[in-house]
Amino acid sequence: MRRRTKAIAASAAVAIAVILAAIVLLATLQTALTTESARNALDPVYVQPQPNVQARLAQSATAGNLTFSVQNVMNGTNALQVWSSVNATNHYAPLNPIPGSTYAVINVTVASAIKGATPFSYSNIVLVGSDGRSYYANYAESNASCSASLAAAQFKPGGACDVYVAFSIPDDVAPAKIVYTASNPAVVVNLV
Amino acid sequence: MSESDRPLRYAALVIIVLVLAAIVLPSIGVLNDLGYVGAKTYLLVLQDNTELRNTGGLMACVGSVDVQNGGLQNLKLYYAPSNTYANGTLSAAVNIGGPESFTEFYNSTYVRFWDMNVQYDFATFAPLYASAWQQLTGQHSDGVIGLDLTGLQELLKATGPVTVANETITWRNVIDRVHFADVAAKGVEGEPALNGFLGQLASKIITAAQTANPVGKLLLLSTFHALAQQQHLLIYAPGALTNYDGAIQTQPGDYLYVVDANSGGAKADLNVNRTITYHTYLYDNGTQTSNVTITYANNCGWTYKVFTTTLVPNDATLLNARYNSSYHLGPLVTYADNLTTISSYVEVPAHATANVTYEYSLPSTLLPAGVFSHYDLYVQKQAGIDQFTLNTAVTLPQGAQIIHESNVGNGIVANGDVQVEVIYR
Repeated sequence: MRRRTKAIAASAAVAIAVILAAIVLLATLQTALTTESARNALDPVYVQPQPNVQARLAQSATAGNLTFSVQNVMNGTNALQVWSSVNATNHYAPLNPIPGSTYAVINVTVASAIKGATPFSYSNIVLVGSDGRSYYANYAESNASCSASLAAAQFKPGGACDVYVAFSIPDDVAPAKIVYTASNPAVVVNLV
Repeated sequence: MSESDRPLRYAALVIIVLVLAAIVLPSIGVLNDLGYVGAKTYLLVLQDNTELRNTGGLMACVGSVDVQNGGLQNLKLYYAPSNTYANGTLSAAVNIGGPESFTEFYNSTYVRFWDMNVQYDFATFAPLYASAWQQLTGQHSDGVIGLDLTGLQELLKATGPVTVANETITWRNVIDRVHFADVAAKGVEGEPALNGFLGQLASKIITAAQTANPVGKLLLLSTFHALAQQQHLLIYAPGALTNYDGAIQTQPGDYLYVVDANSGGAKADLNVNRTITYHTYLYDNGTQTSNVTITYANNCGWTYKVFTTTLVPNDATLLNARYNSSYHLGPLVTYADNLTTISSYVEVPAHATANVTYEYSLPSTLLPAGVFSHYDLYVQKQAGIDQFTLNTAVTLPQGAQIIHESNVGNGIVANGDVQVEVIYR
């Protein structure tokens, strides 16, 4: 009888230990999932490309085959107006930003610095926020005369364009830098 | 252990084996049905929920994927309006046959193939879609998977950014990039580049999922589950999965399901906030009258146009309909799936609100609850909507006392179905 009681007590102890281990395991797993979820959902941390040339707002920087100048950074509430002014067909325009976010619209002048064709893609422009995170293009448009260059992702010799790029950024984040990552060296335009 | 314990040990072993068998055997069946053992072909539909349709959103891309031994193969995507999947030779007009609210309001039973998701739920739409697809392409399928743009966003939150055609795609820009590929970018022969973009995006997400660490894989699994619960991911797999097809949840008690279709209001729906305000009056004889007001707050810079259908219990009688909008049509009362449906067309000016209110009477929806009276209301969320605000009020018969209530009150922000419950005596 005593042996059976001991066996039952031992079984109960093992069961409790297994349950406790399962609880700890589940809690650990939940924490890991929450951490992973929060980490992935964040926008990527900005790492400054090397080498780079630095410039300020409205100042031109030549890097490799390209001259790059950020003319203006606008609040996204004017995004539709900007699009209406540059896009003749106006069939493609920024919609409303996702909740909790706003659009920052930048106006960049890009020109070929050589006699040959120069590759350029707006998707290589990164907005760096005051939170140190990287934001990537949501929309891009150019004035009608250079929309073909934008679509072909390259400039003909001597080509130049006014390009407008809209970035979705959190409401509480301000644009701090605009970086063109595809040139060598990269162009870093400091806005603040 | 004594000899006398032996029968007990055997009994315990048999019970454990039976429990394991009960768990594992159905799982094997489900895995087989899904294509984890053997091969299955699933039709795909990307529903653009920024332009809402009854089953979740405008059919932007259609296609198929083979699932073989758990792996995805032969992913094919087509820009839905292009009709290339039908070799461009067949008419893509489909006879939908219903629901009556749609066919009567629009005075037609024919729609374009890529406009055919007019049924009230994905579970009804999916077999019709599979049948129409087979007619157009000759391809047989074992099920249908639907995903919307919110689903894409959430998957990218789980995987982190991916690179598609030298572009960095994050959860923050994916919806705009999909629209860019849909409207502005051109692929082969001048067709929109959407299917090519989505094909590459899907491949990158699949690769990210396959190469994720165990925690990442669990996170994706958890994301899939949440998306299915919120009806951003819909799976119609007859015989395998039954809870992921977004079917109408008819059950005893009161019921409310508002199904909206953006009807010329452009890609507005992520910026249109919906509030459903429901007030029911319960009477001594068990009958009730209800008021439901659907309010749209349009945060877009253009007019939002919506064809809205409210599904309520069978035998409801519409007593009154009131509109506070710049333009409306309706109401139209029809019947479907043992439910009464009330439909209207409503326009909501830019940066303004509009609403429609229906007042209707119902036979008793009370449930038996011993000595108490039990009122249950099931509010079903439409697929594709991120969230809605629910205000509920229940006025009890005179002299009645509340024993228990849940989800009664204002400002319940719901991203899934809501069960309202009141017990009184």
